[in-house]
This record gives sequence, structure tokens and C-alpha cells, in this order.
Amino acid sequence: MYSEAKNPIAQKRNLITAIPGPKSEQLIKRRAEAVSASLGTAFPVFIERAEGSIIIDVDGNSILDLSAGIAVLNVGHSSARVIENVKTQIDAFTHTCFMVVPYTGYVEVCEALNRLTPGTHKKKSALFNSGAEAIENAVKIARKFTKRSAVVVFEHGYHGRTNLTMAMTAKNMPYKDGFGPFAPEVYRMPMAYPYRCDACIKPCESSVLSMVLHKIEKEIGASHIHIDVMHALNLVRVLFYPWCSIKLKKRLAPVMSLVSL
Amino acid sequence: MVLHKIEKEIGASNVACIVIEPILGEGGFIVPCKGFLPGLAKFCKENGIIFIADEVQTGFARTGHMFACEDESVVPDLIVTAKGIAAGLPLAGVTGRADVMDSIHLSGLGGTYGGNPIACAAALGAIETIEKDNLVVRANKIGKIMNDALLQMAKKYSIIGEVRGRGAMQAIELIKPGSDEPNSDAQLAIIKYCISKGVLILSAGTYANVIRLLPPLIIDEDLLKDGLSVLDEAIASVKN
Repeated sequence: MYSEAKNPIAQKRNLITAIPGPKSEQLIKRRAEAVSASLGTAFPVFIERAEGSIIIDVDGNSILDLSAGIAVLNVGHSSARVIENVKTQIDAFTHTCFMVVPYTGYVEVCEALNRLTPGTHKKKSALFNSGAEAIENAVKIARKFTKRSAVVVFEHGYHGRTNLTMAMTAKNMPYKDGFGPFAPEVYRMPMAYPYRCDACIKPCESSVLSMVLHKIEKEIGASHIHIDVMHALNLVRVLFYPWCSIKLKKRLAPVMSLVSL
Repeated sequence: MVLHKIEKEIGASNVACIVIEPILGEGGFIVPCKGFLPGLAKFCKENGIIFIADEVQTGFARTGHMFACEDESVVPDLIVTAKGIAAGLPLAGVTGRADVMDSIHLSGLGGTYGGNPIACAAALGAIETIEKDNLVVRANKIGKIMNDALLQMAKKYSIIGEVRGRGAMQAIELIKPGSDEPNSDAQLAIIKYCISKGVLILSAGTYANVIRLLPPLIIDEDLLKDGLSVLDEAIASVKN
């Protein structure tokens, strides 16, 4: 669990000022002068320290963190083993570049990844600095190994903000807008998004749609899916209005996986 | 349909890799239909395509498995990890089939800082904690608390279109009542309310209408319930 060495932080939410408090307000102004306006803020306070699931801000407020730094702090803030290991490592050495002089920690992390990831086959690993950099390298490896170039990704996917990973990321704003041209040979496929029939991109012609839907509802209602229904479903995927009704989607759910593939 | 499109529009023999997040993160915690990931993995195997799982957000116990691919017993050729691996120190990994990983020429991969010793030390501490403190089990436990609470909210509030996620990766998709239209105004209002009460939650979704919850897996259950009750109040405060 989290460190309880000195001044443990009570795992309780507690506000003593408005958010942001006066000290955070000052720092927000200072930041605006120094830091590029391109960087967003999800929560408008400055942190002083944190432990477990609680962040203490510079005004002394205890904030409940349900973000974990975007799924980074699975072990919580100030996790004891993490801090201990880092302190020990800093006292020993901080950098060599693994390709200049290797060290055991790198090998141990690779061993752990090889052991913990799915599959019992022989695995190996390489380490990088960020998710985007690792994705870029995974694509490099796949291209070299297969001697092919095309990369398939999906609607709504996010893979990072470097040039190749921007091309792989689906959403334009804020990740890509004005930052092109993007890397070639990246192809985006419809995503199996059960709540929204995403493969269907054109607003429907209501008459055709209602006819097809009637047929589908009738068939699924009878819990018996015929080939012609599959055909009709494919038609729906072409014609469907993106925000089709929840009720219908619930009825379609059992067969969505079939048509998604 | 996807496989048909790949075949017809690209040609499977031209595809080096298929890259997918087993549960979409920024896209709004989209959990694909059962069968979708195994279907893609099978297609990759049949066509000599490298299946790459982007487990940057889903990895390291977050979804109630060590890796989200395990849910449908999918074994990717390569798996990409980051975020949860080192508790905040910059580190990421590519792991996979030894024959694939060893196919790159000497010095073909690497970088000055990649796998920095301090980041590796942090990772070893984080991984040891995840394993010794059974955070996989913990993720399922707190995931159920969140899912139960969110489903209760969905019954009360018509702006919640769907509750979804797996393990400690849970989200709600917000809609305009009586339709499926994305409700990004509600998302903004809910987040603003939570900020005023000292609860940090994140937005997501292509249509900016998803609230996602990603608590530390070690969170006290009472504290989590406190946060969920604030979220409940926040949704109640949104004018439909």
C-alpha cells in the first residue's frame, strides 16, 4: 500500500478553501505567463504532495483523485516500494544509456514483462520512454518482420501524439488539428462500439431503414437469425443514422459481434 | 465487415500489423463486443499479420486482469505497455514473440533514455506491489463498487445512456434524454461540480460525452464511495 513513513496523509476528502484556493490562483497566473497555453488542466489546483488516493494542494485542500494520473498510479500516490527503489537507485547512479553500459534493472523489467504478459511462448522486450514511442517501435518491428507497410487501426482509437501515432489516433480535435501531414499507410477500420452503430456513417433514408429494421426486429424477436437478416444488418450498417435508438441497439447486441467482424 | 474491408480496401497481404486497444481509453472506455478481439487475432494469424495490443491504459491490473487481452484469452504477437508500469516515472515497453523481437538488426531499436535506471527501479517496485498486494483482485472489487453505483445512477438519471467498462476502468456515456445524442454540456457540468467538491474525474469520448473513473487500485472503499456519492450529486445537479 502507500507509504506511511512520515506525516501520513489521511485518506479523506477535505476542502478548506474554494477550488482553486488563493495560492493555486497565484500559481495559475504565474503558469499562464511562463507555460505554453496549449497545455490543458483537468483540475485547477497546484499539488504539494500526495499519498494513496489523496492529493494535497498548495492551499491545504485534500482532493480525491479518481484519475490516478490517467491510469498511471495503479499502486497509488507515493507507493512505498516505488519510492524506496527510486531512492536506492538515485544513490547508486542515474544514467548510463542502456546501450552504452547496461544495468540489471532494465533486464529485470524485461523479465517481468515477458513473464506477466499473455501467452506462455518465448518472449522478449525492449524499453522506451512513453506509450507513443513504444507504439512507434512496435510498428517498426512489425513492418521489418513482415516486410509489409500497412497499419490497421480503429475508429475512436488513441495511440499518441507523435507523427505516426497521430496518424493512428482517430480524433482530430485536440490531438491532430492543423498538425498534418500525417504518416502514410495507416488505415482506419470501424470499431465494434456496441452502444453506437459506428460502422454506419450516413444518415438513414427513413423509409428504407424502417423496412429493414422491421424485418430485423421480427427475426431477432423470434431469436432465429437467417442469412437474409445478416444481409439486412449489413445494409443497416451502411444506411444507419449514427445515433440510432438505444432500444434497437439492445435488441441488435447479440448479433453485433458477428457483423462487426 | 472489418475483415472484409481490410481484405478489399488494403489487401491482407499488405498489412504489417493491426493495432488496437483491448478497451478503448480516450475513445470513451469502449468495450468491443465479445468475439471481436479473438476474431481479429485469428485473422492476423491466418494472414501473417502482427497483432499488436495497445495496453498502455488497460495494462497492469487496471481491468481486473493483469492485461485486458486475458479476458478473452487473446495472445497478441506484441503488447505495448506504459502508464501503470512505473507509477509515474517515464517508461514504456514492447513485449512479444522472441522471433519477432529478435528480427531487428543490431542497434535498430533504442534511444538515449529508454529504460532509464530510475524508471526501471520504479517499475520493479510497482510490479512487485501489484503482484504482492493482489491488485488484480482489488481492481475487480473496486470495479464492482463503481459499476453497481453507476448502474444505480443510470436508473435515476435519464442523461446516462450507458454504463460500461471492466474492472477498475468504468465510465458513463452521457446523452440528451430521450435520444442517443451525445451530451457534452452535461459532461462539462458534472466535471465542474466534482471539481468544486474536491473530486478529480476525467473526461473521454470522441463526442466529449463520457466520464471515466480510474481510481488508484489501492483506494479505500469508503473513500471511493464518497467520490461516487459526489458524482451522483453532480449528475443530479445537471439540468436536463
